[in-house]
Amino acid sequence: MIQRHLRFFALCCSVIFCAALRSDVARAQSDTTFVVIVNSGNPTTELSNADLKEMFLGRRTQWESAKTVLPVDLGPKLIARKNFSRDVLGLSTTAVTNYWMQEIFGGGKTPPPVVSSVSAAVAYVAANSGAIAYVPADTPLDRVRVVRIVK
Amino acid sequence: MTKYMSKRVAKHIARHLSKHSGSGWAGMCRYGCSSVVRTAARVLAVGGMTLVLGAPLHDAGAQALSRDTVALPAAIQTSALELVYSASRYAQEAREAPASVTIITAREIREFGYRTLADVLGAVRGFSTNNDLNYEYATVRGMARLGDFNTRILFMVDGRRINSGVSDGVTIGTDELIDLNRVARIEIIRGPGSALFGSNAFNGVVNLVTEHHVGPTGGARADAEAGSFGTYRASVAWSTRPASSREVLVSASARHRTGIDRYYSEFDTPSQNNGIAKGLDGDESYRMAARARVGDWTFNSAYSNRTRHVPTASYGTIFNDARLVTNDRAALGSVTYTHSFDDLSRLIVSSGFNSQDYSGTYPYEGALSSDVTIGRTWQVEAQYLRVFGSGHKFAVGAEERFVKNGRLGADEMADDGETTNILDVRRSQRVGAAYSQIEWRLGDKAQLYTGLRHDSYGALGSTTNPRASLIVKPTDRTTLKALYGAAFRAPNIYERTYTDGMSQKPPLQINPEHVRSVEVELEQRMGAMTGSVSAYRLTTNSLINLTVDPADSLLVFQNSGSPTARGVEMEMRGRLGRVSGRASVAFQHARSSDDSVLVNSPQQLARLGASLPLFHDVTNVALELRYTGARLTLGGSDVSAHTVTNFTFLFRPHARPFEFMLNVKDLLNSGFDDPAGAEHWQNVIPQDGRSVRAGLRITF
Repeated sequence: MIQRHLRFFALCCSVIFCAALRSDVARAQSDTTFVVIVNSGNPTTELSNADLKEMFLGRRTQWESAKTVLPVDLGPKLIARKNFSRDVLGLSTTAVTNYWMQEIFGGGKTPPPVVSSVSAAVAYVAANSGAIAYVPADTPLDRVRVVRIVK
Repeated sequence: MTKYMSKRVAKHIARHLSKHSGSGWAGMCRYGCSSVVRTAARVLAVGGMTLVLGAPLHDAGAQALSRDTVALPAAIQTSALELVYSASRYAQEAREAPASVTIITAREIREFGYRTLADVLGAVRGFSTNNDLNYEYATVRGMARLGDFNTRILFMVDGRRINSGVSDGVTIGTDELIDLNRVARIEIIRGPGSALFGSNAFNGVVNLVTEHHVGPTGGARADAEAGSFGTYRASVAWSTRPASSREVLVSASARHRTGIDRYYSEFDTPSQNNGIAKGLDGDESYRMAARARVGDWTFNSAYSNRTRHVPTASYGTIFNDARLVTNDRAALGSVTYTHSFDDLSRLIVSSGFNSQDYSGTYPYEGALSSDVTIGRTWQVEAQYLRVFGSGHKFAVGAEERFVKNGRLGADEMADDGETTNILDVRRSQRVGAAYSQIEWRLGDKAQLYTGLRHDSYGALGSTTNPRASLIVKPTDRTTLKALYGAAFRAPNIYERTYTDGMSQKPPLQINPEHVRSVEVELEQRMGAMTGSVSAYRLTTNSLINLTVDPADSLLVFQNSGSPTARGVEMEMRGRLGRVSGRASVAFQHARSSDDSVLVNSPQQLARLGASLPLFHDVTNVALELRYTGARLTLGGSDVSAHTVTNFTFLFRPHARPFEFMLNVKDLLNSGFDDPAGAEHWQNVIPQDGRSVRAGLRITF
């Protein structure tokens, strides 16, 4: 009986794993067309991928000026969110979402607020001196500043 | 957690079993009510009310946040993300969870005035409860075993099991381990869960998620209540959160109930006080808890102690004798290390213990019987969770449980003071297990879960239990779940080893009992409402029952009977205008191997709970109706169907630190009965009827 269960389990795993890998290959193709913005009063001019990862995962909570880092995320279905997760965080949006679900449930860190539109992200950054967001490169920007990403 | 049998007790039980073979039973007990608890409860209650008068004003926003202790960020809240842990052993959206899930939040507990965990479970789809005035029991989907002490449901606190290592039992009434005021949410999973959790996750899993802090950044809270039957209850909690990575919470509570004089026609003779159990309904308990988190480390502990006079003269004891007292103590302690790696994979390592201890005294003609159960389970477990590919999740884990010197003891003291030892069994048991589950993401609209767990009980053998679930989301608002699972419960130390040398013998061989479940659930969101329909079939195999061996007329635990259940459940929950709540109906058809109706198994359940804020949220009224269909008793008669109506009123003025609560249970005084277990002479146990309580809460 147990062997039958194990064989069935192994067969299921194999078939689905193959299908999943094919799905990954198809998805790993899209443009990296986003910019990272901060409040116009923020003196920061450049940030590394590692800096951004620390900020957006809640592991760094203060700027050098001691102001609180206030990251804001775009909705998980927006392409800029997927690109940012992949190119800067080096992770899938599902992995990031899963990370935050575990953190919320464990009473740990609080995830960045999620806004449903790019304009809302820009407005949030413009209104908060410690805010930081990523938006598509062609987004009209007002009262915010683009920071350079260094690898 | 079991009443061990002297010869006279065994005769009493055997009398019932011979008439109703196949009905499960078990027992529990305790002794000596403490006036300290009563005094503490009263002092705290009065003190709490006094504090209200001089309490400072508070920010209204902070007040609102402190009411719901699940501190989720606003952006997540607005997306209505409902998280559940117990379905997969990691947090996930309930909609995507591979199980039939109900979540009861702290807000609902407060607004509906729930008093105990059993009270909460009685409000949930597919659950029914019964109370024998000593212990409370939960039944899932009609799979009832009278007096089984909830051994076929896995209970957890923050994901750690609390079922007894000796008897598998868990206390869920006034003897519960965790005070409901400390609970942030309760996750209730219907159906087998052994593919993740092992033994006891037979008919369901209940996980109490405790609050991490009082209010959004720490603070204090005091509750004081007084009510019918001389009931007092008080609790305090304090927490501080100097940083997001450091927090501490401590809490304590006490409960006292004087009770009422109870009449039982079965004892209506002049020599038995004309059937009146006078002053034997007392119930006193206290509990303490502490939780701390420092970075990746979490420390958790809790302790409860309840003493209960038993008015029903269970186990054939002398009626109206104040020496019939039981005492239950439960505890847990754990330290957990959680770490997220750079790739966001997560490692959790946890170590700790839990215990469910019991003692009791039982008066008989010419002797006083006393018994004790002590069972401490030490546990180490580790889990690794990783997201790979385009969002597939892989969880793998292992655990080791060790029951060290689990003890069953019983003595009998004659009137002349001579004490005879009847039972002194000490057994240890080690369980090792490993499991894995993969959540395959099949595009954006489907997920497949496959899981397997292997449990090894050493010389007792091993068992492997699989699960598979397909979750399909054809639209953003529709979810279809197809669920398959298997579960087992291993015979516990009590069932394997108990003998009194006179009336009960240990089994020569006893194997784990098994269940398989197939379920389909359709869930549809409609605005702020969510509706669901589910159909299921449960097939058990070789259930463990106490039976009479025809060869020698001795009682013995054996694998006998394979009941089945099938049913349909429908539920609507969410918000309709300003009204929030849930309504459900369940039609369940549970039958024993010979197609007879199971004792204590209602065929229909209906639940309605509606909560309405009024006057700009300054007040809140909640009404609850619980309909339970007719239930068969051990005596062969039916307990008629009944409806219990509960009402709760909250007054929480803005910018004030206090909240007033009025709760009426069984508003229309339905006067219903619950079927009694084989340890009772009574066929049914009449319940309290209408009871009122009023309380004040202050949040600093």
